[in-house]
Amino acid sequence: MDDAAFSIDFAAAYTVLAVLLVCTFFTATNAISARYTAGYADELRPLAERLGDILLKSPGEPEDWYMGPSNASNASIIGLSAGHPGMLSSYKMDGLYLFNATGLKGALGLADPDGRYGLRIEIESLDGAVSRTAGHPLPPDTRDVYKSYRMATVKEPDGTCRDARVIVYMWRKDVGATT
Amino acid sequence: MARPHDDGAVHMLEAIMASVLVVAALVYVNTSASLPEHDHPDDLKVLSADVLNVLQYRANSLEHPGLGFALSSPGQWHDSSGALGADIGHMLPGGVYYYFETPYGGLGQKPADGMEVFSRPFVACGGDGKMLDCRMVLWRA
Repeated sequence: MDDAAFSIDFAAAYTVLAVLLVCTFFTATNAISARYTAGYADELRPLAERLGDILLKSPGEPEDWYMGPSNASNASIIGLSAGHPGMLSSYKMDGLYLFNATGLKGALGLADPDGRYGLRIEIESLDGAVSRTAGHPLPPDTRDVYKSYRMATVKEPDGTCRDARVIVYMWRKDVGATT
Repeated sequence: MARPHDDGAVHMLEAIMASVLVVAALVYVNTSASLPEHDHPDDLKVLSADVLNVLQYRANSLEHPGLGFALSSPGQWHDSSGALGADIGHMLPGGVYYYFETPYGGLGQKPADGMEVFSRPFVACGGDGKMLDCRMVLWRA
C-alpha cells in the first residue's frame, strides 16, 4: 500500500542508522576513555623507573635484609643487587617473599598509607629457570597499568649468571578502568 | 530505462557498501584507541643502561660472553660478537633493535637515516690497555 505511514524501506534504513549511531557513540566514548587511562599509566612512569632502579642497583639497607623476617621488618629499604648494578642476588630475590603486597611498597620506599597504588614485580630469567613474582595481582583490565621493562642478570649460588627480565607494574587504584 | 525495482536494488547495494565503510572506520578507530602506546624515548635510555650493566658484570662464558671479554682484542670480537649479539637480541622487547659501534666493527641492525634512535656512548678497555670509544644504539621499528 503506497500510503502506508512506515514503509519497509524506511524501517530498514532507520534501523541501520540507529545501529550506526550506537556504534559511533560507543567508539567515541571508548576512544576518549582509552586516552585518559593511557594518561593515568604514563603518569606513573617516573615512579616505576625509580622503584626499578632501587631493585636493580641497590643492595638494600642493611644489606642482609633478606636473612629473616626480623631483618626484613627492620630494613629501611630493600634492593636486590648482589654488589653490581643490574646483577641480582638469588637470595635477595627469595627475600621478596618476606613481604606481603602492602609491605613490599613500604620496603621499596613508596609511602602509600591510603593504599592508592598497586605494585607487582615479576622477575624471570630468559631461559625460564628462575621465576619470582611479588606484590598485588594484576587488575583484569591493564590499560591503566604502567609496565616498566628492565634487564638484569641473576647471580645463582654456584656463581652462574642468568640474564633475566624484570617487569615493574604500577597502577592507581582510584582511577581508570578498574574502579 | 531502469525499472523501479532495479533502482531499489541499486540503492540497497549503495547502502550496504556505505554501512560497511562506516563500520570499518569505527572498528579501526576502536582498535587503535584500545591499544594505547606507552613507548617513550626514556624507555630506551633506561633499557640501554640495563643491557650494558648486564653485559659488563655478568659472568663470562663462551656461550654468553661479557662485553669486556669480547672487546679484549679484534680476534676475540670476531669470535664472540655473534653470541653477544644473540644475547642482546633476546634481552630486548619486541620491536626494539640494537646496533653496536666499536673500533673492531659493528654489530646488529643499523638504523636507517632519519630514524629516531637513542645513542649511548661508552668506553671499553681493550686487552692492551687501550681505551676504545664505542656506542650502543637502540631504536624502534
